[in-house]
Amino acid sequence: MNAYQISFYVFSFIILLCCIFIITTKNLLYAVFALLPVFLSASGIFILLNADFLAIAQIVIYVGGVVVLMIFGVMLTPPDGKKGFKVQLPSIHWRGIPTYIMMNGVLIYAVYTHFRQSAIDSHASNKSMITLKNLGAMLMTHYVLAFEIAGLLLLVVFIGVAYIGHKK
Amino acid sequence: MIMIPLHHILILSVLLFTTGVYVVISRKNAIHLLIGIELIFLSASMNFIAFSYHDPSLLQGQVFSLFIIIVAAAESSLVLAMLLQVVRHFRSIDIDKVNDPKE
Repeated sequence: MNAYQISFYVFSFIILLCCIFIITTKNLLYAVFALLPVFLSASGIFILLNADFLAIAQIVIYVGGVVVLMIFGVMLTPPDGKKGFKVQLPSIHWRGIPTYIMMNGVLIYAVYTHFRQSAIDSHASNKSMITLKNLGAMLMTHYVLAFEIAGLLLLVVFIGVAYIGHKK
Repeated sequence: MIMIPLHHILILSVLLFTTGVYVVISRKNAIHLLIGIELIFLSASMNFIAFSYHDPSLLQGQVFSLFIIIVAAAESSLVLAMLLQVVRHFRSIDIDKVNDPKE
């Protein structure tokens, strides 16, 4: 148990707590704000898993973009045409919680039986490697078609959002 | 060499996935649904990175995860723009009330 593993479990614990909070909260804005520690801890876990560029992208896109967009969405969608916004949610049905726990149990059992002996022989080296150079080379050689399609997708979404969102 | 075992990362990803699915099927507010969908995307992306972590010579999982992040960002902005129009038209963000295509 070294600091590497301890930080993984601390991040996992933060994610677990915020997931439970997102399920049980009655305030929509709190649920959006609880998404922030989930994304930040996930980017910390990405750093621990040798994915440094993806951690940065996670912070820039999700924390800087998506969560702020969601807060704007909460504020721009008044519930019944009136001014102001409503963040109160109805309380959850507690009857659904056993389903949630059973769903967790089944999937964790499946993961535990199939991946515990780790048929994939783990030969990962523990030295931290910079993935940015390799990732860029792969994006520009093997995955250049998917990369261009992703750029085209972003352009289409940009135009579509500008068209849909404006007041007619 | 001390590493994080693969199944611990997968179990964390399972927790994120089930939370997302539970939020999607139990809530009626459309923005709350979007939170659930983002959690599901995060879980898929974490799975790819976990498998890529145990296969360090190839970064294919990380490339896929990058595309997942791009698609998730595009999806979330598009859904929020559509929600603006839905709220203007139906005067409600409850997705159970937005089910009449003729209105």
